[in-house]
Amino acid sequence: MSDLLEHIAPTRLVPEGHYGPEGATGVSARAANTSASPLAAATLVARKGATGRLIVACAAAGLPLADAPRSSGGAGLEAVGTGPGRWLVLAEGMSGPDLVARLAGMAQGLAAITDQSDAHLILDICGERARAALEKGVTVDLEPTVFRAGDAATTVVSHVGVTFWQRDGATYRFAVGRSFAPAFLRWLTVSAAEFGFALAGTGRG
Amino acid sequence: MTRLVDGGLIDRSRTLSFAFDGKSFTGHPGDTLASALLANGVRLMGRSFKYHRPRGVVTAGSEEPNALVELRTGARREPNTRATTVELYDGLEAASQNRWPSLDVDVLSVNRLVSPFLGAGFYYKTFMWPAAFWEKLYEPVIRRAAGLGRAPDAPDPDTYEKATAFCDVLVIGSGAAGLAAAQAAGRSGARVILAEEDFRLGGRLLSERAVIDGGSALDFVARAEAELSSLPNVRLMPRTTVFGAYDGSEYGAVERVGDHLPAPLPFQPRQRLWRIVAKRCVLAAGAFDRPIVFPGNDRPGVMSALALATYATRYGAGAGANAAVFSTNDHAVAAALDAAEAGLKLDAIIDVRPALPDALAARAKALGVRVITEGEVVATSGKCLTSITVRTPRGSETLTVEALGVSGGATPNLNLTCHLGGKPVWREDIAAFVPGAVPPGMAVAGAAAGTFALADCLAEGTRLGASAASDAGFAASPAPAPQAEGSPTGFKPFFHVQGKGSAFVDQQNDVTAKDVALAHREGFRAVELLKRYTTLGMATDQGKTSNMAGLALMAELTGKGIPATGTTVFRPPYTPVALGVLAGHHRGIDFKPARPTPTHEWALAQGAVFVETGLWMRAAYFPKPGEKDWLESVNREVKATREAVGVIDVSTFGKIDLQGPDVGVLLDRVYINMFSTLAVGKARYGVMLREDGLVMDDGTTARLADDHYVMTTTTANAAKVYQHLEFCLQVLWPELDVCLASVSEQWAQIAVSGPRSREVLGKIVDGLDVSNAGLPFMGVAQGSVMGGVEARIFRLSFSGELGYEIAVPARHGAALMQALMAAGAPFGITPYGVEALGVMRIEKGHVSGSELNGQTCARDLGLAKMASTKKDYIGRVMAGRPAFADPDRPTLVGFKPVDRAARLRAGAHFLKVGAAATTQNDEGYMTSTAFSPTLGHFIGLGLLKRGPERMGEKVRAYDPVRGGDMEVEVCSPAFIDPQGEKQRV
Amino acid sequence: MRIPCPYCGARSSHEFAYLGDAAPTRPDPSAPDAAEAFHSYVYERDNPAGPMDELWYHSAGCRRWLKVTRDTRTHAITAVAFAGTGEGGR
Ligand SMILES: [Zn+2]
Repeated sequence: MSDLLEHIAPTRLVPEGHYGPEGATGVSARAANTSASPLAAATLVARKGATGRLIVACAAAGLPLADAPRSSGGAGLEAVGTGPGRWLVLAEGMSGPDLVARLAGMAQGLAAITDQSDAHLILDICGERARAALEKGVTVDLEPTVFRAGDAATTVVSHVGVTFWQRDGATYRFAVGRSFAPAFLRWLTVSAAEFGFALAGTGRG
Repeated sequence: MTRLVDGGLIDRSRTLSFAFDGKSFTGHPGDTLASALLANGVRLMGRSFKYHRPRGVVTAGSEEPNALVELRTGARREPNTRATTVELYDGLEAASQNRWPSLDVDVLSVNRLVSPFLGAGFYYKTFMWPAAFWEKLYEPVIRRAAGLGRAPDAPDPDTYEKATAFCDVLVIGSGAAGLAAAQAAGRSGARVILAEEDFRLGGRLLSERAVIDGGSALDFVARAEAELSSLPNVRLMPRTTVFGAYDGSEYGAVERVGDHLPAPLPFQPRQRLWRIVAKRCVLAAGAFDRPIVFPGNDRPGVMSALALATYATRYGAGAGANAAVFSTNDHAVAAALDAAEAGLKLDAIIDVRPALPDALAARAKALGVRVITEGEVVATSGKCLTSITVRTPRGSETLTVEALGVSGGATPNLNLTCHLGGKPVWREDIAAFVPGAVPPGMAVAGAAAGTFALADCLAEGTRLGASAASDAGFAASPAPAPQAEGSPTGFKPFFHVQGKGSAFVDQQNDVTAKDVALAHREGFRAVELLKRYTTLGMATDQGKTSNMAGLALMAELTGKGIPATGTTVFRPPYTPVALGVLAGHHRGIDFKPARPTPTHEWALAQGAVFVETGLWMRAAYFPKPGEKDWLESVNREVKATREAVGVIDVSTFGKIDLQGPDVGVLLDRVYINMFSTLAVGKARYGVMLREDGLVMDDGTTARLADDHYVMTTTTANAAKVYQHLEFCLQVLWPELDVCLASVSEQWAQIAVSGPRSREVLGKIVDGLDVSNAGLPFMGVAQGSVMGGVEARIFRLSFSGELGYEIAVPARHGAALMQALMAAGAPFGITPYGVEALGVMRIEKGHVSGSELNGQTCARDLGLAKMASTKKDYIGRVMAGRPAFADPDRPTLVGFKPVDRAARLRAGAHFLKVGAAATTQNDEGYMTSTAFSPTLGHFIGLGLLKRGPERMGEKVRAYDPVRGGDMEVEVCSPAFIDPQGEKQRV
Repeated sequence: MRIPCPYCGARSSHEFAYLGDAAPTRPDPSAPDAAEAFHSYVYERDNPAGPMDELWYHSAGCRRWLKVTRDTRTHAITAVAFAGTGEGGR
């Protein structure tokens, strides 16, 4: 526990604001799926023995998929490998059922598709000291020569299960289970505060 | 004052004030608490654990057994802090330990007078009898007398954190070998972490007058540090102790981020726990100066010769106004002469050997230091040291000195090499244990490996640093090792001076040479037995300096030699680690994640009292103004639900989406009942067993489409059931075409129960037929609510009333709750919590966590009739074991107190009326109890031998833990509406 | 300890759930000796000192069951594969 968050209920998202020494912002985080700008999300799971054909079908429809912990984009969608034959697919400006329908059209019966648009907090984390803050909970090597742009990991951070991937540049996008988001933000806030931490998109508390 | 005139790595331009035992002193940046105290002439720093003997500092590092202090005050007070590793800061406050009323005058030091009775095995022999005396007499007295510092009595105000680092090469220690290794590895481009326990890089090089590459040792350290700092692939971690080596090339380390400050900087932790994942490791942890056991060797002023030299050269602090050195080896003699050159008044070197090497003898002569060969110190005197008695073949004499440096040679610091089970091996040529089998990926360089000459340390460090990098995939360019002049490394193995008087082997635990002899006489000769019998090496220093001497003494006594006598191995942690840093961020309200339900904020606004279930925060009940206790609130909630309508958030149930042509087959194999025959648009209650036949979980699974089901699990077992299903699909039956996805976070789910629930639901659905015909009991409807919000409506009942569970995407959960509250207002809709839910399920005889306890089979719970006989399922064969069908097995029934006013308690055991309360007479136990507002008295569920055959019988419910003993009447577990008519209306 | 997951890469053992010996296979429940066979399947385990095939579940990662070959004396892991099908399984 830290004095920094003592007055914030542990069940509530850490409110947006600046944490840590004034004038410094080594780490920034922004909630990407807010009520103002929702993100649709769905899991795409290949049917038995159909991973290869699913990848071909999706590629033909404009969404390249790698059967690996990698992210890829296409056809306005962002797909992240979370397990063999499994992806988390995100889409901006679309409803969950629309995304499910869109993927069903692409997958042609080769996958199970499940709406997950309400299942996560999607958080973009960046900044010069982002890695220094993340190494306080992420147990995956984030060295740029090891974890490169497009790489993804499903892992546990400070007792919270997450999937994250490195987007363009040095932004890490985290998908955190909805009910675990307050705990995750508490960990991130105390970990990043020493570098100066700017948090946005989580409401005024 | 014994501060030397000049020199040392201290900043004399700045003065720091500090206090020890309330007395004010000054020191300089670069000092440790120990060096500053010595510079102020303070030699008495603590009292020993058992005899309360006065003790002074004996080392200049973390191996210190004596100078343990309480650092800081108030909530930040930290006991057992080694003064030798505490960096001096302005305003530092420290206090000595183990003394009363003061360090100078200690009443309990009378223990010394009775020390013949406090010898080895004292506890075992003395406090055996009578047993009753232990609690009232022995333990309080021992606790008062023995023990170390006091824990702080307020919560720790500081924060701690944990972090993970990855590297190709981890170098532990930054002395000559470590710096050379880090340079060689760093130059190859490998990612290097150099961890140094001290606040300054350099190790022994900071204290020695050596020439490296034509310059001073300090110049070499400065150049190496500058180069390493400039390399982006090298991370320097001073103030970081690597305390453990673990499987898979993982190392544990503590970084003392703010310990050298009065309080940590804002937003910074006090300490950081590092998990370092290293492909390769070079251990360059140096060596300990070996003590010699001789009478009076624990007098304040007697210390390690290398520590004496370090205080003089590195810290500019004299350990006394004048000093002598008692040595067995060239290294200590050279260090002593370095100290003399630094300004320490060194009167004599007493060496056990017949002569010193010419070079050292000449240096001593030039410095005016007398050399006494073939000499042994046989006695000391003074409260703090005033004189020593030296014996040679030529006679005895007494020297007046305030400090005596002692060195019996070097003991390689191989602690970390033992952490994965490696056993040290004895090297006769250096009379020392060196690393045997080391953890995979580790190499040992320098003094830790038994390589003592400076030039050899530099060469070995360079070679092992380069090969570690190369093993990790980096081609290290073969740069030459730094060059140093040859240094004499002669020695004579010598451990123990024969003589009268207490000669201490382990100073922190007050183990003497006599205790070792006693252990030998009484047969505790194996090293591990010696350790446990005498407590040798069991103090906070874990015998870093004392184990070797104890072993040597035992070897002398057994005549077996040291290697045959054995060695104790070391386990993590290398130095004590605070529990706070192991917890890191996870303490207080952050001990573990708190998961809010989708309606958490709404419930908070209603004044709900929450209870943690698993990690979820669920509303337990919703107190109303004027209600005097929780029971009154719960009774109101139950009544309102049974008589009108109630509402509860049930989003915490595990929810699993199953799709594919083989879902029905899978479900038939994991549930005891049939699911492949379930009609689309229907739900069914199912029970899962473990393969051993015991019940694993229960829940309701609905069929949304031909190849699409959604399963609910109990809140507690959500992850376990998912894992179980993946096991079935991946390991047992990989041919099945089923796709799983957890949807626990995606859907908010709210249960509406009670006779008016249909009317409430009807107001919020978008044109769905929710009549009894349109949505019958166990029916499922998919559509929308609240004007376009996607919804799944399940007609289920846990309460036994007409009821529905409505699922909507989680973001709409709170809105759904508000819509239901508004729609139900005319009927007096009442939110209820898990307490009322529990009461209602007990009234209905539904099983829950207390009954699904991992010890019950389906038959025990009255669920056997659900089991299909037409198929196999997990647990079927083992559930058919005769013992599971034994009619004597405790089986679920209900209970009412015979005295209806009595309170039932879960946990009470059942006995026949009149039977004695013995294990043999035990007939089962009460699993769940509640006050039933519907019936007006307590009710219970429990497991009773032959329960269903004993309806109406009275049995004794015996609860010795809480003093309960009453008669209860056996009844059906379904206390209300046993036919289940209410939920079907 | 770190376990090299074939999908996720090397991960801390904290991310995995341990089941045990990978050798026993679920017996035929309709065989005449099913009761004995299941007793052995559920309860009887060898406890070898040396390399052993074990089932681990990557619960905090890809959620795949893995067959891990681990030396019980040293914890050295010499092989890891997806359990069941020997490939990704999908
Ligand atoms: Zn994995």
